[in-house]
Amino acid sequence: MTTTSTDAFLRAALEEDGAFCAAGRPSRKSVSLEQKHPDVQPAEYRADQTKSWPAECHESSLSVQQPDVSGPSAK
Amino acid sequence: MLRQAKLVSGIDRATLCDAVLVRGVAVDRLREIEGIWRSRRDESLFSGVDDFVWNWENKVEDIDSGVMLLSELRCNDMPQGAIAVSTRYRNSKCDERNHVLYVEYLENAPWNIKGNASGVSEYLGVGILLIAEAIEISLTRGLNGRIALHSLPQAEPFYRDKCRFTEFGPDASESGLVYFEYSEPQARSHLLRVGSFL
Repeated sequence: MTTTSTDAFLRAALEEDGAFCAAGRPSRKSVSLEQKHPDVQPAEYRADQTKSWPAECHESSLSVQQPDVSGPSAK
Repeated sequence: MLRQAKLVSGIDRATLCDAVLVRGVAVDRLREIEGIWRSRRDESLFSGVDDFVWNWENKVEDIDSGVMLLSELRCNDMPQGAIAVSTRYRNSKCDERNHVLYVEYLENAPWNIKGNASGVSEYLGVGILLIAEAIEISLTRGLNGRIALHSLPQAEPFYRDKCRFTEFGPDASESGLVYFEYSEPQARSHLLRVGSFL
């Protein structure tokens, strides 16, 4: 193990700095989007940014139940 | 299969700690890992982590049947990260003539995420080592290090800015999650960064 590789790994690890790094194909939970995470949009609206939010999603008291949108292999 | 690895202490941000990477982890261990992490995920202060939920039963079935290969990064007798790759290859978006190894699941322990309840990430380098593990598996399977994944929204800066994946934008067929891919040169570059620490 050389000093150079130690330095390179240290730099990379410090740059990572505890970053959230989850990946995969999870399902979306049922969340109150307006209250919790207004920046997170349902898939169909995120994929097509020309569409606007449906009016009912602006109701702060409404919980939007997202369907299980796992990929084709999800069982 | 066991491999020695190193992680960086998040306390002093300098000490290298011995770790081990276990490839081919059994389903029972996955259940244990999930049990250990579940309660700590709730403590996380990271905004938006709880927008998604993993389909654990799906993972258990796929690991049991060999559709997924699970690896665990362990340090201080605790699971610091886990990654599962699919044994069914996908077509590359960087070069459609080639296949890529697809990362079905990747997660670092809640206590390693910046902004966790303790205020300090216990270990640094988990994410880059797990990506290196995926590259190594890709190499052993003749895919020349090519890998791909869909990132959770909060993790996009990690793959875009820190790992420097090629970004292909939101994938409508996968919940709108952003698709990232490493070509051969990008994978080689990543392994150089990790060096001999895996």
